[in-house]
Amino acid sequence: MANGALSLDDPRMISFALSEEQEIARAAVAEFARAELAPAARAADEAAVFPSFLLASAWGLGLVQTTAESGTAALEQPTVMNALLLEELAYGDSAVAIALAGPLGFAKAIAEQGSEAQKREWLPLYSSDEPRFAAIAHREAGWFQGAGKSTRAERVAGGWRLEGVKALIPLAARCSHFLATAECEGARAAFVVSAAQPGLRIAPARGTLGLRALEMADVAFDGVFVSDSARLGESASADVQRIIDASRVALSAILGGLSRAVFDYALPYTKERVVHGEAIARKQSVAFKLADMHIAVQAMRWMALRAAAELDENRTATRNARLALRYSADHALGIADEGVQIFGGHGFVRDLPLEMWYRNARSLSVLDGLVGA
Amino acid sequence: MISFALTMRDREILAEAREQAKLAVKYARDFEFDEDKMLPHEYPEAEGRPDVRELVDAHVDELSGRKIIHALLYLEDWRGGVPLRESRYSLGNTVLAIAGTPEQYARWANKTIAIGLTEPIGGSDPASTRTTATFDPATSEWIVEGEKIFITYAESCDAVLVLARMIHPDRPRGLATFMIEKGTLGFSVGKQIRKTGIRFEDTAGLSFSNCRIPAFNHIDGDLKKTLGSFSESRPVVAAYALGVSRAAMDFTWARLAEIGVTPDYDATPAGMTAAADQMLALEAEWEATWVTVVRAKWVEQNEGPGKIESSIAKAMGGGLARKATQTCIAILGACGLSVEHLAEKWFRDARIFDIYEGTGEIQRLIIARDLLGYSPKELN
Repeated sequence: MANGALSLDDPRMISFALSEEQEIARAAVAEFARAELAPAARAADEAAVFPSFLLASAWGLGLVQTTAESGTAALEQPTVMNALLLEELAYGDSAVAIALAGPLGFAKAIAEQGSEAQKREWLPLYSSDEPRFAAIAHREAGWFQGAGKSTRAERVAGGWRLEGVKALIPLAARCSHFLATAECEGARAAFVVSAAQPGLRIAPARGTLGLRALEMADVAFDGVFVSDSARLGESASADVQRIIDASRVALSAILGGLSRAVFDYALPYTKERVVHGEAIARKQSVAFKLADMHIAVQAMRWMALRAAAELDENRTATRNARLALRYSADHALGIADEGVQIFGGHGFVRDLPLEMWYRNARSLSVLDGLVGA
Repeated sequence: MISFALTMRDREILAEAREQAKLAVKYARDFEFDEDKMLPHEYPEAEGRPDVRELVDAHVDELSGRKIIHALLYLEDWRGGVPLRESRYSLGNTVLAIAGTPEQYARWANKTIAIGLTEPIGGSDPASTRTTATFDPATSEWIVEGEKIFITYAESCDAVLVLARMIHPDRPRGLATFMIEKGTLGFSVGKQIRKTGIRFEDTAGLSFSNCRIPAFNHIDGDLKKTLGSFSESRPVVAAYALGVSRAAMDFTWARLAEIGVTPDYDATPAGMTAAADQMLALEAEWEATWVTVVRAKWVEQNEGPGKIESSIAKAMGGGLARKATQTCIAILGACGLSVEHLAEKWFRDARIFDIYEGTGEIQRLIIARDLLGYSPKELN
């Protein structure tokens, strides 16, 4: 090493080296995604139902349980780890990655920001072997993003009354809990709401462009009463922005995994597909597309991990998380789009995954604020 | 453990470089219509301020790494438009370090060595080089004949490392590099080239006519070694691109702030002005390029120069500089066009980064060949 002082383990300086633990976990999840998730993705998309046979095995990876059991303080770089693993899951099927990102984000928000009583109440539920879903309910329902009325929390005797509608919550009907953000006395707060709470209504899943296996549905809070103890952090108000930033990191990582799947699928095909007597990979117009895909896939990963590392260092990550998501969303859509184009008519038919990835890429970036990590 | 945090010392040195860039801004237009003028060794404002590159050497143990900070110092320089203190980054020196013998290195290490690669017929395709070096067994000299164009440091360098086709009675034909010092008979430098931007850079053509050089000046740098030096320099060019783009984007944000448009990294897409949305996209591309440049230099520090990482960084930097300076002028309108401000200059300066040291297309060829396992013959 030219620079004797450069230590890969020194957290104070720039390093792109993953720890051994991160590498091992990544390899395990990558193997699972290839063997279990990718082959099941198409059927789940067609059926628009989350594949029940995957519930136990995906849950068995232990992502959510690790966060719920040990809390986050005990983990080396929990957000970096989650980003790495969500990328690998999304390589197999981004719908499954989103499905796990919900309870993962929920458990992490409580582990990081919940009161001791809140941790004791909710975390054990998510550390058992029984799969259990939850969602971050942040994005307001409305004609387009940002136009909807904000969900509000009104002070009432002994607690709060929630009023509002959250859009397209993944696996809404299967969730045990929602972490709902709301305007609360002029600031943002987050409330843990049990699915069984009176006044909470889950609309029927009507189907979506992509990520169809997620059975996404609107969740309405019609004057839902929650006690003071349901407010995340209780008297110490929660940093809701941190939850949103982590959500953007997760989405960015998932978009990165999806993009890499498209790239890895397209590359061998371009070498096999002969047009005018020559493999299309030997034409600059196609080869340059592959180069650009690769460039963006690399950059996406580092952008997501950079924001993740900032969160793990307890620094403000709002800018880098948003920019990671913006970069990943723009480029993942472009990559999925070109993936379809490279396969031509085969990209358009539902036998191959290209058109599904294209729909999923468009859908993922719209989910800003709906998942966690 | 993965980390993107700069050390205290990194930040301190980069902050000093930024201050110096601010002092240099007043000279940014000095070369616009005085292109024959050479960059001074340093401007008067440098007086009493530390040489940031000496600070790097003095504190290397407290840095994220010499190579990373070296690249990021250039980013800061380019925010100012001209460097307050000249710091030559010349490829000829890099090739000498890679390919020269200890004796050759000792002889020229302290010189500024330009690289003579591009010719009227072939820039991006060095295999088409027509300059020849013919060995004369009678005197053990090489006789160089040919012409080079677009040579950076052509006028101010001490010597140029020239890529030429070797003609030797006992050796196979091939490309080789030769050190040709200023003042060698038969070596002449053309007029400064009139360029759209980067007018402070010394750029001219070279010609060699019956130019005799001693056998010692044959550097064992074949095409591969010569092009290998690009793996170190390409991420640095991308850092230049980051600097100019940053200057244009900061200027644009400052004007936008006057009409109440400020960065909001939590705004929903429909809740943003078109200008803010375009700027957000540029910020995302800028940070993506920054991590890529830093990664290329981190790989270089740990494993030696990475050819693909370098090309990725260069391709991103070249593209960013074009897009950022184009978009900023679209947002700025009239004040983007006026020579009263620097946006129009940044637009012109920035255009070179996707061209020199390998166009964006060359970078994509290098990346695609690597991905596909293709030779230059199979993909060109």
